[in-house]
Amino acid sequence: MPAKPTSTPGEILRFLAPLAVWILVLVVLTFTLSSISPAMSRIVTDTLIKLVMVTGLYIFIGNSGILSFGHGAFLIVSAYASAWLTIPPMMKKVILPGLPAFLQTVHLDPVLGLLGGIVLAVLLALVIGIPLMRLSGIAASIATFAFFVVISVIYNNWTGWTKGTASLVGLPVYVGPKVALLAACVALLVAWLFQRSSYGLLLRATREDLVAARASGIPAERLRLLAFVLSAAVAALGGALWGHYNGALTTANNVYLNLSFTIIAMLVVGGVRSLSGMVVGTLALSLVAEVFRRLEIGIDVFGQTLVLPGGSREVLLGFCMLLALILRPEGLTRGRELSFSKRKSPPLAATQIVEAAR
Amino acid sequence: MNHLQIDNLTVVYGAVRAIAGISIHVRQGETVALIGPNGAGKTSLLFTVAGVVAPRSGTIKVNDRDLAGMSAEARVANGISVVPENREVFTKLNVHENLLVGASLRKDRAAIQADTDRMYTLFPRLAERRQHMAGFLSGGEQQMLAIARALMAHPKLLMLDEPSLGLAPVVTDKVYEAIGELKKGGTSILLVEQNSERAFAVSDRAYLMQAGRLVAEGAPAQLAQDGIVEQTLFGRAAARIVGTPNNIQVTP
Amino acid sequence: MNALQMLIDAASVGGLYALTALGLGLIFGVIGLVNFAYGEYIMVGAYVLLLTAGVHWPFAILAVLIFVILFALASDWLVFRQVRRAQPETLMIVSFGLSFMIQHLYVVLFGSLTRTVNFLPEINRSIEIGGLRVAGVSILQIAATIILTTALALVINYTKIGYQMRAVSENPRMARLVGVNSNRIVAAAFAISAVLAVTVTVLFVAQTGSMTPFFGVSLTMIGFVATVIGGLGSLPGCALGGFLVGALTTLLQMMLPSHLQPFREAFVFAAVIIVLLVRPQGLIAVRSAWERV
Repeated sequence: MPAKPTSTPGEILRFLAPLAVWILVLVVLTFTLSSISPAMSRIVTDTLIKLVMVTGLYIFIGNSGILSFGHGAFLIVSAYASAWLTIPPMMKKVILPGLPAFLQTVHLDPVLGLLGGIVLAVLLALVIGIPLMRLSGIAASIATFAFFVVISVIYNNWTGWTKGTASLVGLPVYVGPKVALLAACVALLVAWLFQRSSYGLLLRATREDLVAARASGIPAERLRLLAFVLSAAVAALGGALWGHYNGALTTANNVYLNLSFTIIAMLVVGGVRSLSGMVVGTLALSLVAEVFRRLEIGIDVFGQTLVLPGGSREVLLGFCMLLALILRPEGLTRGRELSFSKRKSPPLAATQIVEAAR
Repeated sequence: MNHLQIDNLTVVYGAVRAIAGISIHVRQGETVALIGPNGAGKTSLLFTVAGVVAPRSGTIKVNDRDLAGMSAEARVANGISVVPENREVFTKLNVHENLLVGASLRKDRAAIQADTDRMYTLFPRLAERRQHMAGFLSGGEQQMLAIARALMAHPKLLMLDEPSLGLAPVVTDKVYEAIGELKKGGTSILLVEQNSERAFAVSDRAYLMQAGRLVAEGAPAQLAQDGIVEQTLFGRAAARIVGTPNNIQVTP
Repeated sequence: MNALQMLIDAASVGGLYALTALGLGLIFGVIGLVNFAYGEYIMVGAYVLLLTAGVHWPFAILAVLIFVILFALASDWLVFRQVRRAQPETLMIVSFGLSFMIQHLYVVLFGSLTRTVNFLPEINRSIEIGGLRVAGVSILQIAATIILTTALALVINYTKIGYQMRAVSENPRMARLVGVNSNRIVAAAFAISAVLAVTVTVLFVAQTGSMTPFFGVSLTMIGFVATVIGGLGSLPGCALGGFLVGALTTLLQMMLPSHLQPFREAFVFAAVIIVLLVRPQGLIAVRSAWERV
């Protein structure tokens, strides 16, 4: 497995092939589906933005092996930051009188607003990541969850800046299928390059055996921090786009908790250990969610209207996730990447064989 | 009717074949040694019989009853106990509690009490340490405790995995003394060892195993004379040194 | 006087948290599962109280007890047992998914709005003890915590089921190899944790009279905080952590200026992060739940 891009064109092609195939799939799906109807185009956009978020989560979880419940915080932070920077000052004066003068007057281009959101998330990831990355296993997961709760409680109650559970409106809506597709491709490229870089490989070594990796001189904390910050940036990209897709933000009804759950589910159902798994999981659960959403609205079956009660979408989504985890604990793709060489890519790490023998 | 009858057993972990079609048996009251180098599949065999590793194919019968699908705890109830390689005593339970856990399937309090007393007579060291956490015992004491714990379930067929591993010779003597006692009491014993000399001294029959297959079978004295034991054990070691596959032949 | 009053408040709130933390810590200790769905054991019990409104209270409590124990056993049987040998992270995700699913099932059944029930309002009456006004429910909370913690410690340390649990906790495979029916032992642990959850439900509903499908989550979160602070897997640590979080909440309630009050939870969770950073193993550092109390 090449640790860094190699020189001959053939090798570079082979190196990028699995990524290119997924990007091709996304491009084809996006253009064919979004041309069907405006509703379909919204679904495509929604799915692609979620794919960006899942990719962000994957960069950290997939490579470090540490389960993070905290990435929802980066979605919140960047979505609101981008909103502060891009809502027209006239509106801000009315709906967010609590903002400081500087933020009241600033009115940035959407791209700069997006960057602002990402920068803030990256800074936050650095600040929280430096201490947190020393933790492993369950302690790390719970700490990231606590981090999420802290951020979400703050944004929930900081009404002068966020309007809390009320709606913050006025975000310029510029995200459609094409922007989302571009973002998803960038996200996948970042994830793939990191995964195949020597940093990514070393970090994966710490995932398999932390003690052995440390003993070989791998700086686990620093690699984790790198992945954490990178993954926060990509997740933040998704978070900010989310706001500019909906045109409004709110913290009501645990939206960010549910969103976090959804993206974790997508990642886990597909398989945390491979980029292909993550993409498959996102597409699969988006499809399932869409079917259930249709059922909640009501569809005609043999002249009878079948309607599921509100909330049942989440129930069924949870059910699908449990079923997938019970039947395929390694994820739908079992940790495999698409492979174009004749050899089958090794599906399981040696540690798992040992695990199976226990 | 054999006490334990294994036919054509194959065990696979992922891509690794640990046992490749082995057939062995243990007669009623017999002590059988299973000798082989590291990685021969001896431990896998014991764990498959004990019910914590599922076989890919083959049958395991105890007193003509097929064990397929039977849970590990039900096998204990059917008189099959195992003393695992690294003892696996419950380190955070004291010695007495370890013995009581061994009697989990039994309800007769008075008889359990009598049995713990019997264990303390058999292993006086354990009596002195009955309130100590098992994690603080020496290796030899832990081995005695592991055997005593298994005996608390009244096994008819006892499987021991390298009971002499890592023990001082004096302590090994003690452990083998206890095995001799059990043999006299009529328990069928399947004894996995690398220390073939020790094992042969108490065994009625022996199997030699290598890389998941049987290499030889026979009376201990016969096998010891043939020199095939050395070939099995040291052939592997020699192969490891030169880094070639282990089917190399070493002339004795 | 004020300090004593505060101490009682802290002890009664802390008691509730300690019970929650014990239920979580017990399951974690036995099978290494961080059980997000524990909050749902608490939540579904509250809705049983809602449905049995008007029934004489001992029968209502009995109904809750039976329902929640069966519910916890079913969650183990149908879900957690299926993934018993999976990595701790997978287990955590599974329980997270189960919790999410049950919450929304209750949204479908009962709506997401707050429902109220008038359950045992008498126990909210205050009693005067030596100049202190103490709510009856506070006394019950403190008493329940002391009784259940002691009972749990006795069961774990001195009964057959207790040492079998400790054996399964330390080495589940070896426990099965000496004949421990580990499924039954794990089921017993789930049943005990359900009893703790029911206690929390009854006390909580009697005190507040209200519920939503999501109220279990907040309690579980605080329970997590307590178990983490106390040392994941240490039962005495769980109890201690519960009381510490109770004390912290009470203290924050008194000390924080009113405009920061809504952020109270953020302070509590920030405290968890700090504790985890200083002592990743928790305040009471043990590897297993079953060190003697």
